[in-house]
Amino acid sequence: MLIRTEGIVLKTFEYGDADLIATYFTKDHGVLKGFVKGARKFKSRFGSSVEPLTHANLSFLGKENTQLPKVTRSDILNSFQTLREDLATLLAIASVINLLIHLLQEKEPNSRKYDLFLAALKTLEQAENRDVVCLVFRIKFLWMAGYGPRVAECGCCGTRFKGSFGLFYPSYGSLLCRACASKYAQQTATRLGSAAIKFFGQAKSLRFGHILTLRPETATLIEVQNVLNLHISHLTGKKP
Amino acid sequence: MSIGIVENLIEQLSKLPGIGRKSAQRLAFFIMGMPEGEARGISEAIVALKESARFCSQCFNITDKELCDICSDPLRDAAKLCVVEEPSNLIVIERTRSYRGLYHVLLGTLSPIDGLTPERLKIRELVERVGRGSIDEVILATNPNTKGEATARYISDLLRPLGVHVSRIAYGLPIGGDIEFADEVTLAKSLEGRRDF
Ligand SMILES: [Zn+2]
Ligand SMILES: [Zn+2]
Repeated sequence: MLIRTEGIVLKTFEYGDADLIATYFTKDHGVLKGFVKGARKFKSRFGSSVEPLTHANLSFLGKENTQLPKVTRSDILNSFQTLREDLATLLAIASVINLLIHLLQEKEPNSRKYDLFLAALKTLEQAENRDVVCLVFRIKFLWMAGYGPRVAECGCCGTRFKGSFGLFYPSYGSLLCRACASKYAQQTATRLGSAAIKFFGQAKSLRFGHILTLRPETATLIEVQNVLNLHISHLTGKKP
Repeated sequence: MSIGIVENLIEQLSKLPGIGRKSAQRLAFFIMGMPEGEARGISEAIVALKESARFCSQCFNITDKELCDICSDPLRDAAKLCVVEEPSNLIVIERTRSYRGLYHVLLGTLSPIDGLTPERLKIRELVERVGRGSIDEVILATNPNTKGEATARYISDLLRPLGVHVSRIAYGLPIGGDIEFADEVTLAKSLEGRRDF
């Protein structure tokens, strides 16, 4: 098989003396792993094009149905080098990448999710509030994947949320109103203030261009982050 | 002969990094075809390594003594410290003969995408060593890739408050190459890092 597509490096794994196995999110074939021969040699023709986050034009070559095709071409479209140079940014993006790896299926094309990820990286390049952008991406991506955290209304009876705070139940992936919580929920819940609830709504509906202007309070950001991590760890079965 | 013996060797070999089941199989059959003396040589070298080799208590280079030859050499410049990821990196820097300071081997790198786990590396030991005060300059010689770069940044943030001069090895083009074939990141970095000539 020969696959030509564009893609973004999610992560790499060192293999043998000088090779890499790279996990890509590709536009036309979803998550694809590729064997990149000699990538770690200084004079490798792949240069820096297999570093995580690099957006490149790619060719994969291999036998039909192979698990690990060879990457034969990798021409950089956007290196996103500035995102790799900042440790705090890289750590924020790590949460995005791990979410993608968990929720995307290998070889299942999804160009809408791909475009969303690429838009997020482009927004991150210009953003000063990079942790906010990463948070917003995770919320948008969860909605696109059908796992959005429901905070606008009770996840059980649909009553719209009112008041200064709500209780989020990770096991339900939603807020529950008092009446439903007392009837159905034995599990632990996390408090979510109205500012955090509003942020979840904005993250879902605003375009990335508008995200750049969002400046939530640190306390709100921490609240959103906590609830999101609990929600995701419940989904993926991994510790936050 | 029982097939279990071969199977056992395959299983043992596949514990090595970068060796999958297929490679392990290939190695096992290769070893079967070797003269007995050579095969014994391999196994004896492994045992000898485990019996006598250890990490230097100061720099974590591989040695057979408490302090390695470099740490115990009075002619080395003890005010300079070069930080590398693995003992193999130290060996290639030594081969250049252009560095006369001491080393600190981290025994790995941070991997931001998989979650930072600095406690796995010899970073605490490095900070303590620099904190004792006899070092003027720390040269960060981790790999010029995402993991090595993140590790260098993490360490430099920890060392800067100690008042030590922290430097990073230069980024640039490999000697003997042609600019035409350089990728854009490498080329941009080498322009940024240009020097008077
Ligand atoms: Zn309800
Ligand atoms: Zn030593």
